[in-house]
Amino acid sequence: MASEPLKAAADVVSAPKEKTNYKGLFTAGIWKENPVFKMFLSLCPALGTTVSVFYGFSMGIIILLAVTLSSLTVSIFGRFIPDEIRVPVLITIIAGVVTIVEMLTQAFLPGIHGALGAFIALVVVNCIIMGRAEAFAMKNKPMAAVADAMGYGLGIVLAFTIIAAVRELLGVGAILGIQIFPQQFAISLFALPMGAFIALALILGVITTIQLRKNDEKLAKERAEKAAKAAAAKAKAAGTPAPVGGV
Amino acid sequence: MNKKILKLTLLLGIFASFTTVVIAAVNTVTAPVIKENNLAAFNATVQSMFPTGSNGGEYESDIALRVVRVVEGGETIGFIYEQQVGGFQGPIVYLIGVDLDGNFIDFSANHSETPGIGTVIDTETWTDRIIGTHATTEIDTVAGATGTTLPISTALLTIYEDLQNRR
Repeated sequence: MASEPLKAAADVVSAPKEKTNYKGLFTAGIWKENPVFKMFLSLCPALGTTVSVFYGFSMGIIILLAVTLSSLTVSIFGRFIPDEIRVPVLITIIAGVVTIVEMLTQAFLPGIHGALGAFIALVVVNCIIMGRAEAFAMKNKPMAAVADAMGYGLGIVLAFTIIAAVRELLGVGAILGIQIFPQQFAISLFALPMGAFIALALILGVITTIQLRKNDEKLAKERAEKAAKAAAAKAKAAGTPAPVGGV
Repeated sequence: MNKKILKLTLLLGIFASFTTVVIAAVNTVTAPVIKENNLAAFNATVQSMFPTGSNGGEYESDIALRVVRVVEGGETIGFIYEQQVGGFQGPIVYLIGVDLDGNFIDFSANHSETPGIGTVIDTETWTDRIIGTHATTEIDTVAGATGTTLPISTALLTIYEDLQNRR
């Protein structure tokens, strides 16, 4: 069920006797395996709630809380869950955690609860929560599960905030309610659900371009090193000094 | 086989019961806070709409989530209707104050409408169309935000008939 990127973090603690790499677990989900930008998960709230930086960030924090508490609970009780009833038990735990987070938000952060509405309850079916619970938390200790879940949760906060910032800036001409340029020059399409797809596509385009450029540079460097080594070996065989500075 | 099914059922029941108990425990903490928050927010709105009035009791209505009678010195001076309509981005819950003659006093909405578009209902562009208007008059929608303002405009037209039964 779990994809390759989902399994990748589990490999960090694959050897039980080795020391757990908490830093590696924590940082993996933030950017390298970012749930939204790299794994295309959590796209429903990423497109639905990112109309402004405040809402996007708030939704990210709610998912961070839900994924962390769910992973912690699943890792504590994981050993008591038989494989046959794994999915219903995980859904029960996740639904319970999300309900608790929603109740706490409604009581202590009523403004955020009112603005995000049904999207908070829909966190129950968020792929990343079930994904981390099943692929990682079930098989690992609570501390490792929390580090892993917090990393992925922060990855979601980061992604939602970036998407929301682009949409708020281009759609309303403001960031966090502070007007950057007059609203009449803004493209209101970006404030609409359709604009969310375009904003996400633009961000993914920028990320992919940077990634490809980095890969090209890395490849060129590797080729240069390889060629320099080959030239050195050739020169050594011919009995002449190797050329300085590579190819 | 039957024993195994029984064991799994029992285990699933234990997890479900445990989750229910934890949710119930959290609810005992949050429910009074939520109720208090809602009441405080509502009373603040009553005060802003009718500065000299106070909450004189709630009524059920087919056209609103609730209707509150606003009283001053034992006399009814108006009503506040809490209505819910489907907006562009989800439900819009709003409070509309109306005096005994059927004139709208004030409008206040809780929503998650699109910033810069649907959020026009929080601005004077929208509230100026409502405040002082008689409940039998159809409120003009805002161009570009029809998905947000049309459902409200339509729902407001139902208030006058209900008001006739309460005066």
